[in-house]
Amino acid sequence: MLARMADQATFAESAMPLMDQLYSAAMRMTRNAADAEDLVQETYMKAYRAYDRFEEGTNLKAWMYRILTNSYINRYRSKQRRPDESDIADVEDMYLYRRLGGEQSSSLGTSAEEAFLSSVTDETVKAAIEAIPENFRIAVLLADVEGFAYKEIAEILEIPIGTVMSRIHRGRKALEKQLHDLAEERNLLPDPEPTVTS
Amino acid sequence: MSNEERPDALPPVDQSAVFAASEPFVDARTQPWLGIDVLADAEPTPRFGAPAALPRAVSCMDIHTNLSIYLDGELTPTQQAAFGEHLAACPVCQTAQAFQMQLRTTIATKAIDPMPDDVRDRITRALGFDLD
Repeated sequence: MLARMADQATFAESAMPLMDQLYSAAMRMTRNAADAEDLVQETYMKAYRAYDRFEEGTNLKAWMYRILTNSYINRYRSKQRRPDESDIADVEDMYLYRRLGGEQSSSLGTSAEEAFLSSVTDETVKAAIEAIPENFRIAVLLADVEGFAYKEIAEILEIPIGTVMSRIHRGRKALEKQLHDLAEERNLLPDPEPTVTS
Repeated sequence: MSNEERPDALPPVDQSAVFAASEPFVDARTQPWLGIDVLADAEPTPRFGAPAALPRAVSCMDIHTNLSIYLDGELTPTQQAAFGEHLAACPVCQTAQAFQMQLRTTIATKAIDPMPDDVRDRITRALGFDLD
């Protein structure tokens, strides 16, 4: 009983501050607030129950994300028809940069590209992430929003590191294309710069 | 093999083998997971408007294709250093790097949803913790 209480105190102290981050990730996974709330609650209940199996001194954040990801996959993936993800479009490298004219700009100024990124709305970024197929979306979320290293992502998702790299690499390019396409739909792309003649 | 695993139906890659120090540098033939062939036969004229006289060690095309792995810090230390050297000397790649870094910041900072307080309270209570 005493041990349990000690656990509870440690869990509250170390796991509760992660709730905001986990909720954001859950929002991108489930794409709606009600499911995200349930998913975070389920994650915390499971984590708390299993906390005596958590190895002190190892990565609590990665452990929590692993529970979140597994819970998401178990609960929601079975509900959806599985999208065929083998056909994620092959997008060229630096898609967004090239589409914004980055390779033409001088090294001194990239104002149009920078201005675009500053002005792009939170809602557009969220919608772009949510539009990428699930496997790729989760890998990109863990890397780019949560800041996990490839090795940690491999452990969270229980997949080989080569698969992690592949998903991140392709997922990021898909994300750039989504950002571009959404911005285009919403007329948020910068006007093409007039060609300077002499 | 299950359906959802098909997109990643690549052999597991041992990173140390992929980026073996004996390899000159990133080479699509040793990086099947990238699925990129532009490096297999490096073009004499870089597509990316690169300065011509850079050492072959790291080309602008190498940067162009692998910048995101470099920014993740997931190349070998030797390659990280070589990419860093190229970037320090190449304004074209610097511009691309600056953009990609800003893109990352944008994604990391604009996809945040704060947890609603009532939900936080609900979960805290469900765990049997006292609300402060």
